[in-house]
Amino acid sequence: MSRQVNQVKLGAEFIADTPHRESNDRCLWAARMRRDKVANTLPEWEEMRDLASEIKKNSLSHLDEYLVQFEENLKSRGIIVHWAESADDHNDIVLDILRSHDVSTLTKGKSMTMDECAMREHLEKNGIEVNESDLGERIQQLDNQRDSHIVMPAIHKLRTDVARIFADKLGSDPSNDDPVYLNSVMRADMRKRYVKAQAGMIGCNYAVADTGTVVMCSNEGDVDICATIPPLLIISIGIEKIIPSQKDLPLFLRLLSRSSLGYDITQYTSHISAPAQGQDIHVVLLDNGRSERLGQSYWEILKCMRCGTCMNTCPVFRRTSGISYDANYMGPLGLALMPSYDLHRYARLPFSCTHCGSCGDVCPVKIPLPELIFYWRQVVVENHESLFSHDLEEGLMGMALRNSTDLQHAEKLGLWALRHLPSAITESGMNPWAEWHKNPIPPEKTFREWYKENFSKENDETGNDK
Amino acid sequence: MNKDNSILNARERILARVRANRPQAIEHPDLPLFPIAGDPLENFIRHVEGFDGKVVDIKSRAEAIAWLKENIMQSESALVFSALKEYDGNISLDQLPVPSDAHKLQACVGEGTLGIGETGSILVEPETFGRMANGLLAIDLYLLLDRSRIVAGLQDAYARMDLSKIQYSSLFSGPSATADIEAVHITGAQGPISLTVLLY
Amino acid sequence: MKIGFFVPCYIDAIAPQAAISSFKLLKRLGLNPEFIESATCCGLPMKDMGYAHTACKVESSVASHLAGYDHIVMPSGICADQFRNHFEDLPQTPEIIHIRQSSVDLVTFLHDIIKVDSLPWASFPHRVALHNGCHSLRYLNEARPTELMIEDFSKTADLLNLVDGIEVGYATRHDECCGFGGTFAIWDQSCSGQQGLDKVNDYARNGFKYVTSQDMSCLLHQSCVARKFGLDIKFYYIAEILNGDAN
Repeated sequence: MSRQVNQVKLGAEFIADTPHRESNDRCLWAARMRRDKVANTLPEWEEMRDLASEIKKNSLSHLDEYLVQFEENLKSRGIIVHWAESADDHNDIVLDILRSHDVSTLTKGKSMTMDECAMREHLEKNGIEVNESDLGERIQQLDNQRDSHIVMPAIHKLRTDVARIFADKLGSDPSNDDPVYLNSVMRADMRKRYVKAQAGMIGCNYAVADTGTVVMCSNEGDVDICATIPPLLIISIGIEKIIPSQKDLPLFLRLLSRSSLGYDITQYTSHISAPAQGQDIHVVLLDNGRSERLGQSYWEILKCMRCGTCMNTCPVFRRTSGISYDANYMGPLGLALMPSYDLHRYARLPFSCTHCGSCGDVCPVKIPLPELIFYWRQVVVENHESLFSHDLEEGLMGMALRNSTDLQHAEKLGLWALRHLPSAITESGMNPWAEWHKNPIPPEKTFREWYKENFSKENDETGNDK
Repeated sequence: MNKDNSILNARERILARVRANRPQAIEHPDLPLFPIAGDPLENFIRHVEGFDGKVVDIKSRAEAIAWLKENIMQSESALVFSALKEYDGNISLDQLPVPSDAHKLQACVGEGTLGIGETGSILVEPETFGRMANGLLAIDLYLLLDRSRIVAGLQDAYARMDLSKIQYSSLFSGPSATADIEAVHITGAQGPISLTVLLY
Repeated sequence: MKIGFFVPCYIDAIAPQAAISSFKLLKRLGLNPEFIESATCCGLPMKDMGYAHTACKVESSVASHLAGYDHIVMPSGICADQFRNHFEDLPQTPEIIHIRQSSVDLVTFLHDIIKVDSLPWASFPHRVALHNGCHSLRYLNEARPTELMIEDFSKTADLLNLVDGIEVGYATRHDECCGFGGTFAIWDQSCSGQQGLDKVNDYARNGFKYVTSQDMSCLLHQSCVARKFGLDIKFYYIAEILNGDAN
């Protein structure tokens, strides 16, 4: 059985590391603030969210038709299309393609779909050199750590961390942690790798069915370099990435970067509809559970376009970092999606949420994230994956809250402890509340007691207490 | 043979599951054309500059060519590729046999086919640079753009494209950039470090 | 108009002042609220933890005490949200549907239903930070969440602005969650505590000496964190200010 992720424990470790926590929180909150500012310049913002949601629903409710249309269009222009039922199938298909082209080194743009399949690790195990081309992703690759954010993979790190990793792995000056310098180290190193690369691999933001086009949105230029320079290109696409028509594309593009980073558009918005002369393009369409999720009550999670704005706004995510989720998809998206991959392993994730509801309000395609997180908590309990401490808490509450008599007994006990026990006991390590809180100041009387004194005989109609 | 079968089957199995599980049909909504506030040209300039691009406002195409001749230095160590008829670089496509050879370029010059006021984006295709690689690996990028080709918004731009007819195209919005280290914005990531738009 | 007054379990014992001021305010506004003594818990803590089955038992038990009111007013947005939006697992009888529709948080009741437009007895000559509780904000629409690009409104601020001398302001992170989250504060103390500390530090940086909210659970959490870290800030449930009981 897979080991269960303890987000609370991992998160507490990150919280205790003040410089990292503060930086992570500051960077992501700034992205949220920029998002608010640019979204506010568009009077149609909320209407666009509604429309984007409806188009995604339309797309998912006709997914088979759109997929076939997309495939036919690609094939008509000489792009080879593969279908992968699982992560393993995906990796086998990719490895076969690379072997048939004698590829030993390649460059790869950021792709959550490939990460979901743990593809890089699979290729490396099979002797293929994979060079991540996105700066954040490259940092994480060199540090041998998962991404902490789907858009900004190394945002939880400080510049000093990056300086150390680059000095260690790329031979840069360990004492220079200027991000401009570190970026130039990355640029110089990658240039050499682009020249050697025998293949490029990329993911996809939108797969346009009616034109048969793969659309990629990126900032660094690396995705386009991976896509256009080597003679072989492999594109991995989760089947939910389909949108029906070119006409829909500007709506999504107007929402994507504004939601994600608070900018009007990404530096590069690129469209591939056919191979260049002398280029082979393979597209791998990945299912890996998506077709099953489509039939579940939480199917709207498939509307997700991976903008990451739910992570930027999540108060838990910003303080605990994406690393603490130990999952391919983290933050509110992870809470609502990961249990469908492995209920036992991710059983505790849906509880890492205060139910503030902000993720649902920022989501550009209106996924009801708070409801889905709520839903998964119930599934966890129903499948007996809940924690013993939760069960105990539930049992005690169930007893105390059964009726007003039991409640009053429980209240009396609690208030007696607050009033009479020394704080050395009530605020000791046994009380989980006490690490960050003083205990509440016990009131002189409960509302019930006050009410009884003042109103039980309706003797004081003015409402003034004694 | 066996393998082909299993791949074919994977396709059929995935599509069958999608068909069995897809939610109740939901109609595609009608999309209104949302108006973009402000003057497209002014918006365009503001956004290009916002993305750290440089805009040179020039009266005519001839003057744009003259500007290029005056401002781009060419030498053995400063290789310039130009896709324009009226302006010659000092290296040709033949001298760059494989796409990755473009990493030798100091500058690349071409002409965009469309500009977008809403985002400061310029539509380019492989032909814009002779080859996509040139426009991605050159250090400095120069793009001419006819100001009459600037449209208000993304919706207007996509209404003028037909993605089914292209091999490759891209909207370039400023030079490449990154903010992956502590969200510090850095212009010049892996693609061009500078972008100059010559508006005529 | 028959008004039931529901006092949530956590308010009864730990923050009775919120209920007392609310009850007195309703009386003062000429209404005759009836305290529903037999009703104790809305089932939210169990529902929140995923124990739908136990929640259902508590829900149906509390529901049996709530019949026959035109409005069930409660000084608690989280409970109002629970009644209105999360009683979906019970059989949807006409009685349950009526309970769901008639359950209402105090702020919504004052602002939307009886449309209070003056509070001549209330004076609070201070600058006060308004913290809109997340449930009241995002699930009960008592103010515009900063994420939504819709016309700005705040029922809470509207009510507070009826108070003489008050100056309503906000923390820099206007409506970021303070980290209470019900049982979340117990099972994820570190994150809950850090959120709470960030929130009270935000008030302190902005020079606020007073904080108010329509959500007493947020205030309990924030005030206990503030005391733990030695910050001199007073926290008042909104009805304490509206009824002139604060200070």
